[in-house]
Order: sequence, then structure tokens, then C-alpha cells
Amino acid sequence: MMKIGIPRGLLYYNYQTFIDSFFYELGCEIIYSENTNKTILDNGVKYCVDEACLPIKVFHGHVYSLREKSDMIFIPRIMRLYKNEFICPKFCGLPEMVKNSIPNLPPVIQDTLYADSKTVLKKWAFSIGEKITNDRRKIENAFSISLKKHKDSKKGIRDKNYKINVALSGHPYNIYDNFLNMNVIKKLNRLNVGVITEEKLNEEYINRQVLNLYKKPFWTFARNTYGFTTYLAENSLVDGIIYISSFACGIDSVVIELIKDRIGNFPFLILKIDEHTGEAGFDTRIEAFVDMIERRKGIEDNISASW
Amino acid sequence: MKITFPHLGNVYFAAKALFDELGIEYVVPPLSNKEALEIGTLYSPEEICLPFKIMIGNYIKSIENGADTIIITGSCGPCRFGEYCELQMNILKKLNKNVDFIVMDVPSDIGIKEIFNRVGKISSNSSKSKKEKIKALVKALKIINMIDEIEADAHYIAGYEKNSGDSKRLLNKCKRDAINSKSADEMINILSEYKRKINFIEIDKERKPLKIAIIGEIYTIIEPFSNLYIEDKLMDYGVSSKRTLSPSWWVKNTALSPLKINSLDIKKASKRYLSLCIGGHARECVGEAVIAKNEGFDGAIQIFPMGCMPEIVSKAILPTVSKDLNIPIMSLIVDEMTGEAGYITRIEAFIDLLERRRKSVLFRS
Amino acid sequence: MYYLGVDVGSVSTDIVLLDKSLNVVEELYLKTKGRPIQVIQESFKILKSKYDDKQITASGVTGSGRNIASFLIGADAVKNEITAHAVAALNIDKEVSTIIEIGGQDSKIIILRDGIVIDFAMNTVCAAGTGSFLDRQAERLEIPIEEFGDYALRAKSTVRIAGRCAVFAESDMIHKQQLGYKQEDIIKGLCEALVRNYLNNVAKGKEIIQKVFFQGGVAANKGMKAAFENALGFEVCVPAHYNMMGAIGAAILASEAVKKDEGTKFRGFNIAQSNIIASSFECDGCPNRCEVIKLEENGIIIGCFGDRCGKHSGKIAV
Repeated sequence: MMKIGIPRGLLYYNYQTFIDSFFYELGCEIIYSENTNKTILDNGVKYCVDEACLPIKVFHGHVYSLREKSDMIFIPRIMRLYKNEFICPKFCGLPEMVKNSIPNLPPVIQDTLYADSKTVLKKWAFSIGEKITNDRRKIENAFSISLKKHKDSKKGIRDKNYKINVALSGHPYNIYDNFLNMNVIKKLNRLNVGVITEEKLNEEYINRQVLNLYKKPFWTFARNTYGFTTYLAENSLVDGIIYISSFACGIDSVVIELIKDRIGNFPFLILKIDEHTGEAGFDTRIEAFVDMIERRKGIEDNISASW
Repeated sequence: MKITFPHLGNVYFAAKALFDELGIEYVVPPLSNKEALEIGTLYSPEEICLPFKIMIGNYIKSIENGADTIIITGSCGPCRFGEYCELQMNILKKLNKNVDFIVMDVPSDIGIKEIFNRVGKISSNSSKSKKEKIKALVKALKIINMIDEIEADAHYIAGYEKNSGDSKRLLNKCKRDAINSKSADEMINILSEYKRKINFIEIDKERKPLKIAIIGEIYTIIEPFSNLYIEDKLMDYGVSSKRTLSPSWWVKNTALSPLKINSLDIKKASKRYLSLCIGGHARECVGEAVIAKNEGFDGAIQIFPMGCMPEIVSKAILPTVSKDLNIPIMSLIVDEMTGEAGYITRIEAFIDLLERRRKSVLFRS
Repeated sequence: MYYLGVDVGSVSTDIVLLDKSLNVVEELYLKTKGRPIQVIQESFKILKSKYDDKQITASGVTGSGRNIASFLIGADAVKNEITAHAVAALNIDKEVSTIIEIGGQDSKIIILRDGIVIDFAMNTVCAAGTGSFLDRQAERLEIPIEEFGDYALRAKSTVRIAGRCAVFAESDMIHKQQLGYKQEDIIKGLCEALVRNYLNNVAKGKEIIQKVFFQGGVAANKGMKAAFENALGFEVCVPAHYNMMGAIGAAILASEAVKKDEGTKFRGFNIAQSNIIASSFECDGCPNRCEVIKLEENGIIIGCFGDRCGKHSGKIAV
């Protein structure tokens, strides 16, 4: 049985269900990298070019951990997720970055994906499937099962019954990698703060927000986070916004400014993460932010009570 | 309307000529310098890339000189340059600078109608006939080609000149004379004159100077201040340098890209290492490194601003190119913190490395 | 017959005299303290009492202050510190393949094969792991810097310090101290963090093979040497004049340069008595607005530099 190595990093967090199911249905043995940990981070930092952002470095670490265990490693080249949009250029050159930085890699599945239509997606799935089996029906089957599973899968977080609620925004791989974000969701929950993520907001609302801009953001990530945070802020659906951003992220450097320009003095906390982020300072920031929201809420409640 | 624009290499020559011909008022911002960077750094988001900051400095200096309309070219990703206009508009608005932006995006992104609309905003300020307007544009294109060529010649000849400094002196004088011209025709005459003169620089054909290719992110390689005047330095050291990317290259590349016949040599050369366009000029960077080797260059220097997304990808690939083809490649990353001392040390050490490497190869063969 | 070598660094100014067979006969180490001119003058005062101008047949300068120094003393060779370090190391041992150099404010790696430099890198963003940072930590822990290395060697176990950036490394150290870890373990942890940081950043992607030379001021630190050997898995060699290698290289380069020319450009030790004034002004000749530095000796201009066009330095007319 062919062993497919799947690095648990970057867009794996978005398409986990599809990827898992597809390779399973094709009859592969799937070797996952472990959840991000210190060793993975250290190896990522060691092999990846210095200037890259933390999630890219960590991805290198995941690939490194798989290199002796798998016959092939899955590093798709994802060019776009929606029509006429882009994602970060580093995703487009990801296979090259990894292959030129980590020595002695097994073959890499790096088929190029413009995921803006089902036809293209299917073609892509076939070009991968054919590397594994000659049975086209099996590929067809694997594709439709996986796509259905993906559509049915639950995405995003929406906590209920918390006194304070914040929008947690940023690239999915920063939000869902609990090692990189130092368990931020758990930390917030423990402070009695509930979290909502962008997957829970209907895309229509997101796209409507973007219309106010001079230029429609051409990055999918940017459109999502911008639409999500500003909609929630403008309609006071949450008490604050927490943005998890990796240091030196090109897209974030733009989106954060756009959000700030739009939401005025709505509570907005940016948590920067890189390989040196100390947990103590990180916690202090979160606690102070929650304190601030509480006090603000207290004052608002008092005002409304006295009316 | 008084138009201004950010500095992008030699573009200001063509822009001056164009607006002179159209009879539109304009302000050429002072050449990018420390002051522009300081102003830009003060008002720009901290983590945005260097070109953004210098451009903000350019705008503010121009606004001080009366400009009220800013023209920039756009792009629709995936590099950050495409988002510049939106952020820059917001910054200037917050500073209470009342200016209009005219963003020249490519037609495929905003539609041909919108392009005409935006071009119309500029050309309606000109009282010239349509024919004259087209003529003006043709002259401007001619000028950008000429000045880029003269500059490229000077950079290359610097390695062969008999009297050290001849080509640099000529280039500087050419730029000074050209920018003081009163009309596009006069500028074209001046440039033709210098194009002739540059062939008269005394050269020593026997010399075998070091040859270095300058590759990387387009803004930081064409805008001398942003790369701490690396090409001037190479001329001083008597090194022949070559840089493919330039404003005139960009014009040609953009014009040919819908037909997919742009920069075929670069695409071919980069194929083995990076076969797709991933944004910015990452593919060009890799391709040019390969071409540099094929053309017998001794080394290549990659320059890009800190955090530049596409060039980070090419930086990851270049060590493999360097190893496979046996050509030294050095990456220089620039931002507002770049210290000149360490920067020069790297350049000098790289030149030493190339020199000693060449000697030892000769010695052994 | 001596060759003079001067390395004007940001932290220290090192001066050596080499004899004809390139042995070190004199070495002076002074803190630069931002006053390179005075420091060179002071050291020349010392040299003047022992040597005669005529005995100096070549003079070379290197380091970040090499420009100013070259005008001041009259240099036959003005070279960057990477080349100087490589030349000095090769003079000791032709087999050297890797040079780790950690100085006051920057760190470098130089890769050599068959006696030529084929690759190099310098730290780009941060000063963590350089001499100044170690000095500062020693001061903070109230341990003389000379003993810092011994503390590290005494450690029984290591504390992991997060180390890429000076600010983070320092706050992490403080944190670990507050948790009550032993001082020597923390120091050892710091050395290991700095070495890890060096290997992951400055030396990223470089093939480090034997023989390795460890030079620059930080090479005095035994803890750092041990941490390098531990990480690399083989011996690291610290040359006898590890903190003078830049100056030695400059002297050797000068000896080579002067052979081709006629006589040395050395201006003599008497500059020690001169009244030297360095001033700077912003040239308003063009929008570049270069900061030009002017060097005057007893009222006469002896050199200008810092201009891009050459209007003042006269290297190249405008």
C-alpha cells in the first residue's frame, strides 16, 4: 500500500475532511505529521528561508518529519480558491520552497490547483488519483464521496452562552493550530469569553462589506477577514475582535490597516506570533484585552441602566 | 489639476515629457532620498514593504509642491503592490491631504470601460487633439526606452572604461541635461546625443571585468535610493552590471502578456526551477539567474524588500540554482533599517569572492 | 620592516604589526567608543615610542571604520572585514574550510574551499549573540565577562533559552532567573541558544565542515566554543590571535598591495600629534542629499567621503 505523507499545516486546516477522505478512498495508507510541536517548529525554522512567516516555516517542519516515513508527500500548489482571486504567493511556490530547502525528500504530489470550479477541482483530483491507481472509477468515487463529506463537514467555531464574545480572525492555519496560537481559544474560554470564526458568517454578508472598498481585495483571505470582522463590529454582534497574525505576513499588513480604518475605536487586539513569541506576554495581552472589554461593557450597562 | 506620481526608476523622464506635451501641469517629486523615507516610515503601517513607504514620502513632497492628483499603476495581486492605492488613499485622507488618485489597473481586472474612464480623467485636462495626445504617448515611450538603454550601456561599459568614472559621469550628466529639457523633442535630441556619446567612451576591449547581474524585486532594483545605489557602487568598482527589469521592460512585458509571448527567454530559463508565475517577479528572478550563468556572468545579486512575498519564494530556490550552475548568488534584503556599512561590506566581499574565485580557476586551468 | 594592520570596528579598534614572515610582533586592543580618530591617535602614540615610520613598509585598514582610518593613516589596502578575516585565517592554515566570526556587533560565517572564499553571510536583523549582547548579559548577572565561559562549562544541565532576538532572549533569561534556575545553567543555556541562533540564521544552508576557525572577540568565551563543538559534533579551533584576525588580514593584504605599487602610502606615526577634526555636512547639490564626512588635519582637508557622486571625495568628478 502506498504511504502518503500529509503535513498538518497551512490549508490542511481548511480541507482536512476532503484530503483525508480522498486518500483513504483511493486506498492509501495515510501518514500524518504530528500536531505542531517544538521539534516540528525547530526543524521548520532550521530548514525554511529566514524571511518566511511562521506558518510557512512550521509547514517545512511538518514535511521534514514525514520525509523518512512516506513514499510520497502531499504538497499541493494552490493558486486560488475563488475566481479572480489569489492567495499568498508563497502558497503558489510552496512545493519549490520546500523542495529546495529540505534535502532528500521522497517524491512530492504537487499538482497545481485553481480551485475555482468543480470541473477544475475534479481534473486536479484525477491527476493525483492517477498517480496512485489506474482504476478511474475508484478515483471518481473517491472524489464524489470526499467532496460530499467536505460539504457536510462542520466548519468554524461558534461558542454559545458566554458573557463576552469575540470574533477570532486571521488565517485559518493560525486560528486552528493550537501550538502556534498557544491555545488561544481555550485561554479565552477559560476567561469566560466565547469565540466566533468567519466560517459562521454567511458569505453574502462578507461580500457586501467589501463593496465599500475602492478596490475589492484580491486575496481570498483578505476578503474573508475584512468582511467578517467589519460586519460583526458594525452590527455590534461581538464585543471585540482578536486578530491572530503571523509576523511579517504580507497580507495581514494590509488587511489589518483596512480593518482599523473601518472600525474606528471598536476593541481590536492584534496578537502577533512568531517563533519567539513568549507565552507570558501573550497571556498578558489577552487578559488585558478581556479586562478592557469587561470594563467597557460595565460602563455601557450602567449607562443603559440609568436611561 | 496638478499631477504627480511616485518615483519608479527612470519613469520620471517619460512622465515629464508626456505631461509637457499634453500641456498638463505636473510635479516631479524630488528624487527619493532619506527625507522621503523618513516621512514615509512615519505615516505607513510598520510591516508594509519598503516601496510603499518611499512612495508615501514622494507623494507628500509633491503635495507640498502643489500636486493634487496622484497617478499610480496598479495590479491585482497577488503581490501587495496591488493594494497600495487603497491604503495610501486612506493615509493621505487621514493627513488631511486633499488629493485624487488615478489608479491605472490592467484592463482585464477592472474592465476596458473603467480604463477609458480613468485615462479620460487625465487626458480631459489636456487641450490637445487626440492625434497629438497619441503622439505624446509615443514620444514618452520612446524616451523611457532610450534612457533605460543609455543607463544599461553605462552600467555595462563601466567595466571596460579606460578612465575610471567616464561612464558614470556621462550617465549622470545625461540625466541632468535630460530632466532640464523644455519639451519631449528636446529630451529625445539630448538622449540621442548621449546615446552617441556613450559609444565614444574609451574602452579597453582586452579587459575582463567582473560581470554581475542584478535580479530581484522590480522596485528595489530600479529605484536607486531603495537599494543604496548599488549600481553606482558597482560602476565605481569597475564591475560590469546588467539588469533586465526596468520600466521599459515592464511596459513591453505588460503589453505582450495578454498574448503570452512576453519574456519567453526568461520563462524558458526558469522552467526547471519555477515554472509558473506566482506573483511579483519571482519567476523572472530565477530565470535571470540562469540566464546570467549562460551569458558568462560571474555572479548575481538578488535584491528585495523585507517581507516581499514572491521574492521569499525565489530566495528559497536560488541556492539550488547557484549550486547546480556553479554561479555565486547573494541576496540583499532592504528596509528602512538597512545599515549602509554592513551592506557595503557584503557587496565588497562578494566582489572579492568573485575575483579570487576567478583567479583560482585561471590558475588551475 | 613591518606591516601595519588596523581594524576599526564598532566596539574595538585593533592594531597589529607583522614582521616580514607575517608573525605578530605587536598587538593593541582599544575600545572604539565611537571615537575612531582619537583611538588611532592614542595607539600611534604608543607605537611611536617603539618604532620608526620608516620601519613600516605597508599599511592596511579594515572594519566598519575603514574609510575614515584610510585617510587618517594613509592605507595601501582598504578591504572589507570578510576578506580580511579570510586572509588572516588562511595564513595560519591553508586547510581552513569554515570561519565563524563573532565580533562586537555582528557575526559572520565564511565558507572556504581550497583556499578561496566561496560563500559568506552576515547577521541581518539582530545583534543577539554578538559580543555586545554577551557583555550586557554578563553585566546584568554581575559576572565579569572573562569568567562567563567558565560558568557555562561548570553547568550540570542546561536551561533552554529562546534566543533569536536580543530582546526576547533577555526577557526569557530574566523569566528563567525568576523561576530560580541556577546561574551557570542559565549561562550555558544562553550560549547554546546563541549558537543555535547562529547556526539557524547566519549559517543557514551553509555546509560547515572541518577545519573550523572560531574568531572574533566572542571566541574568548569558552562556553561559546564548547556550545559550537557540541552542536557541530567536532572540534572548533580558536587561533592564537583570535581577536586580531581582521587587523592581521588587513596587514597581509597591505603587504600584497604594496608590492605592486611603489612604496607605502603610510603617513607616519606623527599624526598622533596632529589636530584632527572630522565634521559632516549634508550636501545640497542634488536631492540625494548625501551626508559627507570631511577630515581635516591641522586645518588642511585630508579627505572627504560619503558622497555618492564623487563631487567631494574627488574619486570621480560629477
